[in-house]
Amino acid sequence: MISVTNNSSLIQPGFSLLRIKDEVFLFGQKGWPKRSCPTGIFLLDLKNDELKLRPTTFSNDSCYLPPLRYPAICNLAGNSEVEESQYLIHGGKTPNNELSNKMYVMSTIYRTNKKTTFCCTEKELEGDIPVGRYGHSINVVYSRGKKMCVIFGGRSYIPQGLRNSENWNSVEDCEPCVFLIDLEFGCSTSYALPQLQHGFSFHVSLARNNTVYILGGHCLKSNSRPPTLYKLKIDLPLGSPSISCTLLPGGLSLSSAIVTQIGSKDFVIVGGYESDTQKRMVCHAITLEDDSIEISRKDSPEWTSEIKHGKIWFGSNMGNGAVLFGLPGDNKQQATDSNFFYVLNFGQEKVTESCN
Amino acid sequence: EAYAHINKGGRPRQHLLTLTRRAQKHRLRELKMLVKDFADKEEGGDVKSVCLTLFLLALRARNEHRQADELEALMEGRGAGLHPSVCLAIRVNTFLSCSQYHKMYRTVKAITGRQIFQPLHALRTAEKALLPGYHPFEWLPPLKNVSSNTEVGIINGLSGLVQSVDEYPVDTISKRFRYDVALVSTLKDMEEDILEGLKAHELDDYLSGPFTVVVKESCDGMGDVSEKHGCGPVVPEKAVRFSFTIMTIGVHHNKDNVRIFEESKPNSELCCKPLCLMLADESDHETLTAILSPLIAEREAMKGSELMLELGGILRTFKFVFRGTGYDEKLVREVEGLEASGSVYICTLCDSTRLEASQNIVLHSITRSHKENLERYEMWRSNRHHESADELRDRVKGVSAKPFIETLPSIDALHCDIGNAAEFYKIFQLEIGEVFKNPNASKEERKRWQSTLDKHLRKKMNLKPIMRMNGNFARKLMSQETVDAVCELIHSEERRVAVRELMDMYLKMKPVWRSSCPSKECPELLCQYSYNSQRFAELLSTKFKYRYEGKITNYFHKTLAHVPEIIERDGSIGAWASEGNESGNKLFRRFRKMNARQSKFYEMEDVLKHHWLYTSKHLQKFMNAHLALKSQGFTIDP
Ligand SMILES: [Zn+2]
Repeated sequence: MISVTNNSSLIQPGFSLLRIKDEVFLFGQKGWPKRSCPTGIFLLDLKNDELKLRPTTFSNDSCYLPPLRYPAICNLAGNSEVEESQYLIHGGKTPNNELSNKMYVMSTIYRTNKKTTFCCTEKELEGDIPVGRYGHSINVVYSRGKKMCVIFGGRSYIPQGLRNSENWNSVEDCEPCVFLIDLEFGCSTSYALPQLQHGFSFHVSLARNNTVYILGGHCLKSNSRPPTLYKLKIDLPLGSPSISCTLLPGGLSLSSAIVTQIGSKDFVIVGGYESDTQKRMVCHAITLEDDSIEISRKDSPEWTSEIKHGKIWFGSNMGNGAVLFGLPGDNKQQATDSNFFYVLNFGQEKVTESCN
Repeated sequence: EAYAHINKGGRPRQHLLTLTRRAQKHRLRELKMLVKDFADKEEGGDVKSVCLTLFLLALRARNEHRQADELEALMEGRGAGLHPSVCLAIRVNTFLSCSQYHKMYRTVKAITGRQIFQPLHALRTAEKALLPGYHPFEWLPPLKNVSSNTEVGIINGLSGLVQSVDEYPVDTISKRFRYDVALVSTLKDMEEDILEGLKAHELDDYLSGPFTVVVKESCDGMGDVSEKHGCGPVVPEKAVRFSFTIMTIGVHHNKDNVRIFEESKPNSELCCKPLCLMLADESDHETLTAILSPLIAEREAMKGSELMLELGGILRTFKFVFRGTGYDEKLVREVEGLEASGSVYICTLCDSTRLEASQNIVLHSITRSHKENLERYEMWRSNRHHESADELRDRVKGVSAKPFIETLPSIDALHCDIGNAAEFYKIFQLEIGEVFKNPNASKEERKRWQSTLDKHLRKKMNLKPIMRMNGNFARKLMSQETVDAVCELIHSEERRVAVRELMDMYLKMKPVWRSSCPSKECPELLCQYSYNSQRFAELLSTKFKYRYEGKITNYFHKTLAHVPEIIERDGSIGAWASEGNESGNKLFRRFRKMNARQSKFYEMEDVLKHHWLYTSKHLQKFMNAHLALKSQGFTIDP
């Protein structure tokens, strides 16, 4: 368990973490950014089980994105160092509960005196644009020297015409189509695949080369967590892309689980829910080979009794096999310290080291 | 249609009820003789009983049981009982719960043998017509994003927000009315006042529309509403209440705007109608927007449509003007996307910085608006000019969050009072400590001045020290007597003169922004306002330079720089204050304690319903009439 010494009330369900080089940043703070950190992005300074949030700045050519809850977010993790330090952020809920349909590219440009400066740019999308949504996934695939970004799933407000002030906050599963977005030109195209009959969200997605694996998720329409594992293979020849979908055996029933990478091909899935009333206390290991995926049970950590008994938990991948977990406290009178936090480490003690 | 002509044998015949009494007598002469004969023969000559029974049977045959019941009660000599609306008015006004009322009803019935109070079900029928969702109406064009169903009562404020483990947690309970339905109910509740207003302006037969209804909106967070009861989810022990007040209703007639209704007590809790209640912290932006956004969607839709509503038997059209003035500065900043009140952008009306406002104290005009705030947010977000955060911030004058409620840039008189009083309280301390000559006093010294002031105010003014400035303390503090008392603690004659003059100027300015109609209530002070504010500003920058060099408080700035312009625009500042809503907070606590079921799921519903009835003008009239009669000894004291 760690204690957050300042601004802990800013870490809320739906937050995201960005790992860039050896540093971890918080995105998706509660409320709109305040004067003390107008970017809304904080460096997580974790020392001796004490977490401090330190403000970051934006470069002059940046735009200022709203804090977004449950966006789709992924690291570009390309071959170059530039791409390594770039994140794509799509969608999410703003503090005003609007659903963003924008895509932002976030990259660090330089660091001086421990202060990180980000460059945040909005990627203009055109064509068949995914509607504003949250709880979806974004991944980058590579094929024949080209790359493409894949967006799937999520929830959106019920459509115009059906949405009225009495059901204003009602959401539904987005259409189960796959969006391919050309990162260079922002061109977006949607693909309806016969294997994907129902939309879902809060699933796990993992990409390797030209393949995206989509595991589990929650389907609002049937209020279920179908134990599915889809393999999306994207081929990017000179002409138009081709995309194939296969339903693989060995899926898991889960939602809101967190994935963290522990080796070049190895990942751990932890947290989330197996049903509306049941947290997922087990862990799974995933190995991605060039053309296959392997899922196996993994020893779960010794959960403390607080973790075991709480109804909800929320968290995000800190990278290098570490996960930051938040649990709501029960003291509602004080806005501060209403959550408490744990860092779960699957790798070696790397995280704490690197933050020193 | 009931009074349409009846055709008999080709000759048009007028309906019986439209005839004069003489003609009615004539027409029924034969029947009357028949009835008399019958009564003489069968009922001992009691014509009245025969007629009444016939009437009763006719009513029952047509299923008009309510009227039949009333008639029956009259026949049995129970006519002295109170009208259900009077009973409801008594119940609501005296904060009786249903069971308490029922006990009283039973006791009175047992003791007197007469049904003076009406049974609960009669009250329920009466309240149905007063609650939103009873009267049909239509919007032209139909409201965008609002259902056309008009039978909508209390609805869940969450508006379909999903509650599941994967979703953002919902830690609130909220109940509300639909805004348009609530406005209709309010207009129907005021029907008599509106018709009287028309009559008073000799517009009885005014048929063309539309009626322009001006609505004041207020919203406020209340701290600590902890109640140690009720099962259900853990919710914050704080509440946010959104209310509205119908301020004026006008019609356009012969190129003139005629005001046919004007709220005479715009700051009373009796006309401040609750629209939405939630157990939430006002600074929890995610929750606040989730609950209020649908309500704002309704309001935005109403701006572009006209309401068709039957009033006085005639279908009339209404259009609405919404003015969000009843917000304190904190909430204005929260909902309009501005930085918190400590910001260098000190004003919610103009772009002035604290430094600019202190150098030029009185000359500023209102420039901010909701529309511009939205544009500025987009400017901030996109940073099209590729500027640094500081340059960009200066360009957008501190707008860095997306606004979501349109407020009207104004001064909230109540909070202005409170804010300025807090500043005078500070000035008094600084004068006691003679900071003008020793500015580097320690914290302990400063604490000592405060306790000296507190003790003195307690002794001389009977003012108990408080944790946070409130309206009552502010009222007592801002007086000539207080200054006299404080001056006893000030050694230098020159400083006493300065403090006295500062208060004197302030007391000359205050009525201008406090009164509901300054041009009538204090015309001279209104004329002198610019002069007085100029003098007040001079004092600040000379005698009180030690505190106001390069600095000024938000409320001093507003008071000195913006009052004349707002009065010119709105005619009043005081009338547009949030006091009604603040007093509503007290009612909220009271209703919650006295009239709500002890369950988190139901209590908000009960509070909302009770509070709504409490603000019914119709019931208030019944209550007043009842009290007037009672004071003359006409009815039996419950
Ligand atoms: Zn100003």
